[in-house]
Amino acid sequence: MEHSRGTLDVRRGYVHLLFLAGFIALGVRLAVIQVWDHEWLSGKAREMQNATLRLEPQRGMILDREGRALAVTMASSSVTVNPRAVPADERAAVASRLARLLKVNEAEVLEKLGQSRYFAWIKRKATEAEADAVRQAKLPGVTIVTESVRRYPYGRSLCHVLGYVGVDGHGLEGIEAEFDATLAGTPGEEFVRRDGLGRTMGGPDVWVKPAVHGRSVSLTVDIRIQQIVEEELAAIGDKHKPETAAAVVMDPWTGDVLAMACWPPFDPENYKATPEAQRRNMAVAVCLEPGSTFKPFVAAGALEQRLVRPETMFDCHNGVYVMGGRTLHDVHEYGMLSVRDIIVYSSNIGMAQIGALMGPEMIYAYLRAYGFGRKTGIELPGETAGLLHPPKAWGKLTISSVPMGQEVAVSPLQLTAGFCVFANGGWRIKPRVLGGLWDTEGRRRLQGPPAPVFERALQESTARLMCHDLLAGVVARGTARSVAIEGYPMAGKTGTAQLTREGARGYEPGTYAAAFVGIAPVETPRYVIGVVCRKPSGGSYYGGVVSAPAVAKIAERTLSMFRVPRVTAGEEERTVALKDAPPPARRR
Amino acid sequence: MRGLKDFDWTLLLTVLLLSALGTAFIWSTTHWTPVRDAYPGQQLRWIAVGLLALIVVAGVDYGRWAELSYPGYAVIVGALALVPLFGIQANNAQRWLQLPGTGMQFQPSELAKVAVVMALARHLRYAKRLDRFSGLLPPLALAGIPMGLILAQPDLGTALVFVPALGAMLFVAGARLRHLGYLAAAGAAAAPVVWFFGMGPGQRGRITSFINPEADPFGAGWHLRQSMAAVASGGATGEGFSSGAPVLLTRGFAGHTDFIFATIAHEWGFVGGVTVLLLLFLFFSRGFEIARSSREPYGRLLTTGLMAMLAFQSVVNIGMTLRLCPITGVTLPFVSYGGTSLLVCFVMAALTLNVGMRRKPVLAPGALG
Repeated sequence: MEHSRGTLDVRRGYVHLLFLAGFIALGVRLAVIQVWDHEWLSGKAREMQNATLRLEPQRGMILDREGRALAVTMASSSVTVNPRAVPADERAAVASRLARLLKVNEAEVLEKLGQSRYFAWIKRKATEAEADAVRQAKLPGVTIVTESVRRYPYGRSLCHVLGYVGVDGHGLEGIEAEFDATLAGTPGEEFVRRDGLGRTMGGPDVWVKPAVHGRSVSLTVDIRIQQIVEEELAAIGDKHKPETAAAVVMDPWTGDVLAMACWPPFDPENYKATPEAQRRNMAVAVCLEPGSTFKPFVAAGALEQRLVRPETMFDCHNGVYVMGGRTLHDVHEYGMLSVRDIIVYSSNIGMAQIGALMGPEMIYAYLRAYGFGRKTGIELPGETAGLLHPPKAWGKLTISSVPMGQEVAVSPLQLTAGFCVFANGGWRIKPRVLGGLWDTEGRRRLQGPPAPVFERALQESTARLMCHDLLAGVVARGTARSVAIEGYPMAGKTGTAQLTREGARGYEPGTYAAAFVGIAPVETPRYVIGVVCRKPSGGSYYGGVVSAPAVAKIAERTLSMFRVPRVTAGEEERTVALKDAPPPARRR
Repeated sequence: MRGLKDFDWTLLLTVLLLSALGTAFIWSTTHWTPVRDAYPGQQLRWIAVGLLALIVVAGVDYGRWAELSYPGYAVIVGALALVPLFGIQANNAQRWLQLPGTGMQFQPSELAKVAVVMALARHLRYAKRLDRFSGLLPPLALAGIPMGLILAQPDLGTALVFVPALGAMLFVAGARLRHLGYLAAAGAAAAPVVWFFGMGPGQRGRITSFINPEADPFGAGWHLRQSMAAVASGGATGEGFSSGAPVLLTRGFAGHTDFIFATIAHEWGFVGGVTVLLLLFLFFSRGFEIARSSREPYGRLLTTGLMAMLAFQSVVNIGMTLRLCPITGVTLPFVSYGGTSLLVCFVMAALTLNVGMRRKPVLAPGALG
């Protein structure tokens, strides 16, 4: 039989088609494996990496601004077992032996030994004595692995900022969580083949990809200042029994957070013993109505816009004044007060009138400029933006509420950072807690602190007027006069805010937040110190009584620790003389 | 230059792209090893030699090469016969011969691929007895003798690639489908015999582990599991070039030779895998097009056989990576690391280009039918 030309051509076409079909099949198969079943098969692939040993990188340290180690990683021993390598008839004996040596539950160990796995933990973070005993027992399939454990040499100090790491070695809170990727490093891998029992076959069959150790992180915090702050918070805790308290110390010129503490503290090495709510860093994560500490922010706007002068007098109606259908009260009865004295004696009625002069738009613009109502951007997790409604959302009473620190909410950090504007001549500065990055051992600096971020919020003259005159007056003769420090003139503002009801409108009767923010020393401010106590229950609840003494003590102890010279009596007089002659306000 | 006008530059381009891709991924999986640049460097030298061979082979009219079909076949079968006597033992098989007086080693089984296809084409171009079953016996013997010698090495994978070449060439030469069916049935009937007598335990393990890789996960199933893990974890876009994945870096995994497709599919993902498939697809489309358009029987049969062989090898190689076929030790043409294999692939491409650039007047009597 002779084939026709055409038939043979067609036949060659078939051969071609057959192989092309093969390629299409391959393409489809590839798509199924890689795109369709990717998740499922990748899981199996990970399972296979049982034959891959993880090389743990060393976690970097956390250092304070002077290089003192605040968090370090140390080795600890853990007892593990390869259940497949334990012969079935020896399981019971091995389990009872381990249970006795390590004081663990025998039934649980026995159950682990019965699993058809290659790896199980028997006891993590065993003591050295226990590990030695197990080593000596030479039990089949049982090995000791060295694991790392996180230690905090300063104990509970700075716990809310540092955070803590979970049992898997990753940061769960604070700096440990925020910089986890930096601190943790990248694990390496050692690739081994395993035999049927999961024993590794060593020798030339091994590849090693070394681990990249983590970097160390240094903070702007000075642990000595931090400890002073914590002692003073603990003293408040003893005396005034607040529910919680927070304190922040900032350098107003760089934005460095020199100390940040919450009370009560917890133990980061044993964080589970403390309820989670208490582990939150209240200084950044919780916002409260600031109360009277907010008055200077509004008053400064009115002064800067020349709506009022420090000497402008307002009628404070002897402590009772109806405005917009609401009756306002002052703690003490005042008749006529100047703007200066409205701040010094903290008159609600006076502030409401100043606020009314400014109008919502202007008040809002100033408060935004200080940084309220938005996150400061500090390098800590869980920061709150606070609460500041735009004028559109203001109610009829808001115009009288905001100037005395109601219907707004700020975190202790935001409040402290806000006072930095008065202290540094009118600049809003971004708070920072990151001091730099270092190598694992903390010997070589790899990266400095983030550059300070400035934005002008007030004119320098206004800021100086606020700091040297009005706020200095609060401590010299106003609501905080009882805490004036010998030789270290301080400025500041007290605040006593009623706590808002949780999940409801209005205020919770009898509960207060007592606050004080201080600037010390007034002439060349070095520290801005904020202390906020929530629900003090020791009898007093005024900011000037509960919080202001702690701020004064922190300021005095820190300034004397750094040997800042005290101002002599004569110099103090000169400062007061200056205060009496503030920059002349332009006439309207 | 009449030939250059018809020279298939696209086919050459796909060959170069595949070789370049292969070299890159050979570097990617071997630069972690102490020898570092040795593998890609060697591969580049072989590509250079291959290109040289390509120019020589394509430069001389394939009619001249056709005259060497039978003598070449005789030499190669002779060399294959020498392997059991003088061959070099490696990996439980004797596959290599050393040229006396030099250090050069080569695999006669690789060279046999070209020689057998050439001899078959030479025989089948005038064979008119194909309409009888007895007419199939001489070509069967031509392919069977070297196959048997290669099976004995043992090298099942290489022996297997002759089957599709033989089948395709007989089919295109005009053998009856019924007769080819008998042959296939005979082959299937012989499979149990081969299973029990022709294959060692190692080869049987490859088949059983293909069916169930978990049966012996650290033995015969190991490569398959490793390869599937690598491909699957590649995902759509891959882990990144030279990402150094543990599955690929474990020593003993042939990530630069037989399983290089797994490496590409892991590091470049589905995108990379499809790129390779498309390049191969383009290569074979051009090759089969040359086979289709050639009017001269020797050239037509030669290119059909060569393309069928390479295409089968590609499909089986990638198929075993993706667990579509059992593991057979065949390389991915142009991509896998390996000297003789790469050189032979270049020679095959050169012969195909040769046929494509020289359109001959039809010589076979009756071919115009």
